[in-house]
Amino acid sequence: MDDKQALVALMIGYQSADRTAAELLAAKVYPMLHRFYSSLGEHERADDLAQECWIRLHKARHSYRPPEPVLPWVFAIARHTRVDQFRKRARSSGREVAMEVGADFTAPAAEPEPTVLPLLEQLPASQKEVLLLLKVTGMSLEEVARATASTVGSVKQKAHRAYETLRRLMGEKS
Amino acid sequence: MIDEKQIGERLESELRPGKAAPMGLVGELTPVKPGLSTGAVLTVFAAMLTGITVGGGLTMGSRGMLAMTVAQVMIMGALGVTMMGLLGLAAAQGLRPGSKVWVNVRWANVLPLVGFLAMAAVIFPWRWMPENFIADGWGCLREGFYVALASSVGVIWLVRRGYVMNWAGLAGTLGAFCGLTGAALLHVMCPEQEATHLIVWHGGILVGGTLGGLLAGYLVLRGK
Repeated sequence: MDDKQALVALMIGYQSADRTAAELLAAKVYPMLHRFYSSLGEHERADDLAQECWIRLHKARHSYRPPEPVLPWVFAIARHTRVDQFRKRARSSGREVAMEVGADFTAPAAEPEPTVLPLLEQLPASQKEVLLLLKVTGMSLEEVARATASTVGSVKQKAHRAYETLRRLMGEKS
Repeated sequence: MIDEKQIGERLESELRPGKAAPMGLVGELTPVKPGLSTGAVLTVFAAMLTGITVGGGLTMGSRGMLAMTVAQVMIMGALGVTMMGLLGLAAAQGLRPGSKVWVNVRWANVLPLVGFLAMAAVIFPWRWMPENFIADGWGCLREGFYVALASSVGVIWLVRRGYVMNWAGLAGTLGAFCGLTGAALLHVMCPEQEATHLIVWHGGILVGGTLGGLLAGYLVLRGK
């Protein structure tokens, strides 16, 4: 049984209230969600977003239909969670006072300096998201199309443009 | 020159690893039924449309059908089924996150109306009679809206079986379907098969249904 079929089996177990299946599913999906949010630049909020997303996945678990792929269902809700939280923050930002943030002591000093990751910031949001969905989750083009409610052609085009821009930027840098 | 594969590999190696799931993430569990398939949504739509038009025609008369030619009945019937299919596909993908995109929701919401108006203008005669235009039309509009309102009950049941992320799009689709049921029943029972009457009053139910759906979607979004 491959990874995708295993996820479908776990999801079926989750829908029929099997605790072991639910915990195994959380163990597989939660790190992916955390990595996805963190890679999108939501480092401080990645924990909150991943937990909020899990709550929504739990509430929406009836909307999954086996044997469809699980990850597009998960990441469609994950994207929606992020957009919703962004809207809520935008509404409340006028009432909040920004706090000073201390230095990040958790960053390991010995790691090699990243070369591609900082360049992602220069990509349009939709291209960056598609690229990360392909790389973080290992979903296929068709699955990313499902997660982003678009077509395979559109996903392919965004990924291609993102790679082109990254290649150009890396060329300029070197 | 660095290629796509190398960029992808480098990016993968630079991404931070995700945190493990915290303890106690999985709370209370109760069994749930899986979501509706696309076929099931289409079946519900077909059953509602058939039930309303056949049931309404049998109880309230089918003078509209008798006033049409065979070609008009066949063309409008085919158009109604196509509209229902388009709206059904759009609704199914709007109710299940991560489902395959079969149709563009915006197009699905607008095309049925455009198709209806175009067909009404092309295949029905233009014999506008100003004296009865508002009196007859107002009756049609009122009855059509009652039917659309009744079909919204079935549509609400569908929404409860899914998980909606794009409220505006889905509510517009479902509103257009409710409008379609109203317009379809009027087509069966209304003897005034004249282009102006059809475009303004029967088409008005499609427009009203879609706008009503969009308004409902907006209100749900505001309340969230």
